[in-house]
Amino acid sequence: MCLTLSQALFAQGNMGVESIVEIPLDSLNKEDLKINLVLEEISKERTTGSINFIDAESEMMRDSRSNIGSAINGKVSGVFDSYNIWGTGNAIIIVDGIRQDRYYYESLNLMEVESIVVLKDAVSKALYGAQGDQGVILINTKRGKAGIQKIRIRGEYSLSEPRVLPNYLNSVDYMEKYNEAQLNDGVDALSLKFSQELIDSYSTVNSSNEAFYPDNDFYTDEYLRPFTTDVNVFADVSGGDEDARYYVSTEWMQSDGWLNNAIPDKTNRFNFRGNLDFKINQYMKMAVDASTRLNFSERPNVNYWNEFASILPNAYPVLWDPSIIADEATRDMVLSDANLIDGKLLGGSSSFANDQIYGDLVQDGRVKYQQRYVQFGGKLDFDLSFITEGLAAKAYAGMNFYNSLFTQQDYEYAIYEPIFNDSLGLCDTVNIHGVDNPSNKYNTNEDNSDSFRQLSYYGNLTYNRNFGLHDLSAVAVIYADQLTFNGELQKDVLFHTGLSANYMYNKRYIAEFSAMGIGSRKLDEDNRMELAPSAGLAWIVSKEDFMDNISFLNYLKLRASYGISKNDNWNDYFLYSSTFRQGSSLSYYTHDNQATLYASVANDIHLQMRKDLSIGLDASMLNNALNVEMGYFSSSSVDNITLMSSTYPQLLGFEDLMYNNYNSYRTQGIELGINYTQKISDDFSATIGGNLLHISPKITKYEEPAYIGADVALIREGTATDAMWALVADGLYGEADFNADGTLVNGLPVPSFGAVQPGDIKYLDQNGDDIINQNDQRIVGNSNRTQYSAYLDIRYKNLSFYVLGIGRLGDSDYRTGSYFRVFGDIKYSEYAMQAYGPNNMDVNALHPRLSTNSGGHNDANSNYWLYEDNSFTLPTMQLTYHFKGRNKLSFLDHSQAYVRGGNLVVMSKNKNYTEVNPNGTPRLRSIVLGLMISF
Amino acid sequence: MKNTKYNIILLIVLMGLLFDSCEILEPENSNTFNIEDVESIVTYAEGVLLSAYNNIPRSHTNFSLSYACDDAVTNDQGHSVKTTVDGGWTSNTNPFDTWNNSYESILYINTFLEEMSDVEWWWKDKTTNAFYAQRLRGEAYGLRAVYYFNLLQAHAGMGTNGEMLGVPIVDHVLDANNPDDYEIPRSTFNQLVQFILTDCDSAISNLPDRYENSGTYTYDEAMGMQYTNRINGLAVRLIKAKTLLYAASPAYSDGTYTYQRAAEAAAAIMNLNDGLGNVNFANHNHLQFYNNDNVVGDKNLHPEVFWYSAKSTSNSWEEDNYLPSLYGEGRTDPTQELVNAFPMLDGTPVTNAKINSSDPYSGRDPRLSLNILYNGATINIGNIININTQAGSQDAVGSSDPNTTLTGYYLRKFMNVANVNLDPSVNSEGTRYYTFARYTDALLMFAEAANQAAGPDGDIGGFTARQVINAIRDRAGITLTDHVDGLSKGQMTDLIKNERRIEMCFEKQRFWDLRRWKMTNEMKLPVNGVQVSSDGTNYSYVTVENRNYQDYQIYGPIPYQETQKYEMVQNQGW
Repeated sequence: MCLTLSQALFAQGNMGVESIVEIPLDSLNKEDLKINLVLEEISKERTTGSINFIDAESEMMRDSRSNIGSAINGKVSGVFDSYNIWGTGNAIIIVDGIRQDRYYYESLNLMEVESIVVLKDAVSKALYGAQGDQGVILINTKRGKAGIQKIRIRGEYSLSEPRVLPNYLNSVDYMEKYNEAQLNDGVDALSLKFSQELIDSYSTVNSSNEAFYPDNDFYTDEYLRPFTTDVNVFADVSGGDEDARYYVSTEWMQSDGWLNNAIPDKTNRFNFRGNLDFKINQYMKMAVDASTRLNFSERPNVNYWNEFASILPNAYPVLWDPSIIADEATRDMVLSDANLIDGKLLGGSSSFANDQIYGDLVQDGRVKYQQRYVQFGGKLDFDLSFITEGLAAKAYAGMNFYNSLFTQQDYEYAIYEPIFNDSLGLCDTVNIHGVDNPSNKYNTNEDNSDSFRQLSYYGNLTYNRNFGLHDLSAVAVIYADQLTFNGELQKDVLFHTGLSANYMYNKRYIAEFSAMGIGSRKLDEDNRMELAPSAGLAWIVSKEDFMDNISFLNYLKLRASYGISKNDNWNDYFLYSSTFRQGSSLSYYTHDNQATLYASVANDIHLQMRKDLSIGLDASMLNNALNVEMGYFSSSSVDNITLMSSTYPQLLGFEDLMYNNYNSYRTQGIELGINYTQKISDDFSATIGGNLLHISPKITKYEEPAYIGADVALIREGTATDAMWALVADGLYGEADFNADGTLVNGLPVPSFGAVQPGDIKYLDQNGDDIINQNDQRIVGNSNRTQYSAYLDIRYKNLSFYVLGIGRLGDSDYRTGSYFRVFGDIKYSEYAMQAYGPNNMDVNALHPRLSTNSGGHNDANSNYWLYEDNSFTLPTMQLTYHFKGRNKLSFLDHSQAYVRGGNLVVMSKNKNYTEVNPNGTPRLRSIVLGLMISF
Repeated sequence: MKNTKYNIILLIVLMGLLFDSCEILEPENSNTFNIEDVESIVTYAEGVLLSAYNNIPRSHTNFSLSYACDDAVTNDQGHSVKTTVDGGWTSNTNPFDTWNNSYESILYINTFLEEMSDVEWWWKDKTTNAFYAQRLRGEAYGLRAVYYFNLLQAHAGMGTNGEMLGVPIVDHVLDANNPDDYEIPRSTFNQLVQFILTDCDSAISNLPDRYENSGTYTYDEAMGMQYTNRINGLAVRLIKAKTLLYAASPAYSDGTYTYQRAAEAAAAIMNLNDGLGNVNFANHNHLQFYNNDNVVGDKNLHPEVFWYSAKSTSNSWEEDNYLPSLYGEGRTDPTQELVNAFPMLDGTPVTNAKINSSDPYSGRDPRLSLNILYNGATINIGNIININTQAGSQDAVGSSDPNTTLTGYYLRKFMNVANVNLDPSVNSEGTRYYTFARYTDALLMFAEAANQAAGPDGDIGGFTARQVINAIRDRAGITLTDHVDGLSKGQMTDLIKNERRIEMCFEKQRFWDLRRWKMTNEMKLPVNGVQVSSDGTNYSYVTVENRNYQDYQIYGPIPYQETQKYEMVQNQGW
């Protein structure tokens, strides 16, 4: 939903009856709301663009999920998932005026956040310059307020369990399917890797010989806990007086990992924030902010999800009982030195002599990963009303430091390979590989360690004044930010300066204008600043006299804005000049010399642009019970820097250095937010609401070959930006498609990705050249185009219940990865059983024939692997008890206790493809208990 | 109070001054430089020309052209050539494309020729400086001839307009802002040949035949032994002879360029290289010209190897091609057709009647065992290894090892068996280098051209085709000349083609030779392999792969994308 609630309403607390929970209900259109845009503050009614506002505290009263994204996803119109505004890509996240790295903003707890503002169109985001290309999400942290001290302590405990775990074949199924794959590859039946005798032996497995017939399943209690737990404790204190105010918060979070019986995998997070405000004299105020984020995780020195997904079930006996060693002397010799686990030995084989999964989990030492983030900022506010009334200035300087450190231990341990004596039918030999050699030393892994530092400055001059019917506000801003990454030559620099003005006449006609000079280090010295203008108009129709008679309509605003923003979001720095660089060293007889290569050739380039058009209305009806905001938008990303490889001939020799401003894309769409509140009785009310976003992305200009003939179907220009181009399959080849000598029957097009046989994917020759190649790709699907959400918020006496549902439509995905595409010498998932084969000669089988070779022909993306990925989920569902003070607990006013379910419901036609995550942490559902005490 | 106000304004002004937008928008200096730097720093200037060496085809980095003709197949199922031979050779998917690499190198050559004419290469004395400038220009012209020959081989052909066409000739650095400058149409075939010949002559007049020290410092510093591994006069002459031979070949010839000229160009090389003086059994080890121990000493004055790359130490060729039992991947699997091309020891062609059906490799041309590993062959990799491809062995056709051969044969040529042992406990490496030009190529071109121009016994430049062929076979160990001596001109033509196939196998020749000879039937025949029974007595021959080519594919295509950028004529059929 949008615009949850203002403090104004909160302060009034005038919901009337005492027994109903005093948390404010939704209102989309609180027009008197002051929106803190950091660089300026403006009331909602004076905006002309598409802006959404979220009050974090009131949002958390009903949905206590604490990450930033959960306050946005499904709750704000015009945003896909958490950060993707209008489907143009992830927006920049700006915390207290400065862009922040993902690690930082994802570690923020909504408890320490005052408000979130989503700026979508050009005029709204203009003050943030080039970084706002894909929209801006502002996060303002809490600050102390003059008045009594307020303390809050919140604890949460959550239990999470996997929604589904991967399902791999057991040893017998695996060996049979592997043999089938080898037969498909032309291996002689007598030379198969697994003899029938070996496979049959698995039916006679007992405790004395199981070490020779391993059948490992890693998704069991022996390796994994059935659920994980997280603990989160958050506390903050705020208060102060007119001269000095403070806000201090701290948080501790611990997540216990998944492993049973192993070196624990767990993560600890410590956060701290202190925001202080002082008054220096009557003209000057100062703010000093600091925050730190510390993250410590440790785990065994193995990527266990990956290992579980790749170690064959029959690779080796993970643990085996030494009592099966027939010869007592041998057994004593082996056991004399051995490190037993539950009385068992770590097993291995000749090909797994250096490491094995249990050894890695238990005896291979630890990995420690530490992330540290420190942020400081200082701000001066100047009241310049002594020059002229309404004039003020502000100056900010801040720094961020981040570093991460990856250290690991590297133990060695012994592996015991039992050898089966066929003639005697017992184990009489043990091959011991390696020795136990623990080492406490941690070595730094440079590749996984990283750091950056960020220096930010901004200053502004604001002017706010009312002259009777005229309201004027203006801001001049200068903004600079530089990010220096470890190991990168060029800093990532933002610089812009300019002016923005807002004028309102008679409280109903609004005009807004801004002009920013955008700087870039990627342009020629003489052209490093470019102008980006934008403007907007709005009309508050409901304030007109002729609207007085329309009683059901409480508020109506029409608004439109258009503007250009500019950015230099491309990689290369010297595209505007001709340069050379030194290439690889070439050896000539007794000496070496380096080649000299063209590094760039002078291209005539300018900044990339985005042109945003936004038209919308905001309305409140039926005594403000029904609130609506709706809009149309068109966001065009034009003149993107493009390698002109289809334009310039290769004769040039440097055609791979020819860049122009060329490719352009447009996303049009509609956004809608709506809510309705019904008061059923004095102590019972309900609100329903929802959001809808639908987009239509299109490539409007595209550098591509001048296709001719049937290949004009490959032209990208004019097609959807998110189109999925792939081969089109007509099921699988069957026996009937081949001659006796294995060649394709006459008339069938020849695939160019390798020889085919029955059971391979049968692609269609779309362009009629009798060859299947990349030119036969067509659009087979597209990405998510529509997101809708609906929520229900019920308040009854001291209880509130909230549930949010988010759905998406129009999305397609490929089955990818070795879990769904079982090719090569890999672990076989359940999908191997669905493969075309001697027992399943179905040309519509779910999986092509198996092969021990890499996928080749079958692994190309095609609609054979495509599935529809529409879904509807309930990410949150919460029941809250609100302490309402009329008794001894009155000091606990605004305290609450709650239980929340996360992702309890996931609906999708193709759940079996979307829910399993074979190489990583499973997708989860969770139950959370929480208590927040406020006094 | 007034002071406070002034101080505030002063503070704001000062903070404003801290923002220096010029400073913040200045990118860090990168490690690039401009053309003036290139011209003034000798190593940068020479580096421009060295960039053109980057794309010299490394003829043994892969053997894909032998997988595409009747000499070999690969067990690498994902190899791009697999689909090419199966009908998937298109102007859009062309693994034999040299277009981009060649024109990129030509850019560097043209940049060098245009911009580096005033570079002072050696400030100490003018004579040496002049030699420097002469050699570098010579190299530039020689390399440009190499790249245009590569373009000719892979892209020239009969255009859809019915004309025999070459490729666009780029002889200067093109202006990207001027389509009139860069939208160059294809030259005619003969124009391209003429351009290559002119570049060859410019190179030959500037380059020494080989880089040798004269004892005079002013010369040796600029033209001496230290430039071994750079292109030299003999290598350019080889390109010249080859260009003339291609121009006289059936696929291209309109009579302008004759076999006589090609033979003369080849004979000129022979006269500069002691004729047949080194082509005899005493130099049997020249057959392993790629093996450092046999051939290339510290000087590049070896009679067989004209031009080769710098030496390095590696075992990657062996990793690719050794047998699985020797920890290799068995990538290059020679065909039965290639094996059959090796004659009997008496010099007569192989027939079923002549070979022992249970021991087909005995009594054969010694070159067979030098080039191909077959069942029963032996190699010495420190210890003697008996090659076993009998059913049931790891190296047999159809064994469960994914790296096993498809044809029953493995590659022996180019393998440094004396030094490379891939056993993980040994894992040794050997010296290797790439051979870019060698004498045998010239001898075989001479024989082919002279036989066509003047018959087997016609003298051109002091040699006859029959003489040359007998010398080559003598070097291989075939001492009897009876068979060759009895051949007519036509029979001689076939024999010379066969000798070229054997001597130059796996050197990227035959794929294009078949095409310039217009041997469209041969290029379409399926290729076979052998399966050996487990007791090693029964050899059965089976088809391994089809060769699905069309007649028009005697010429390669112009890259599809390039035909779309401006009006450029495609070759017929593509």
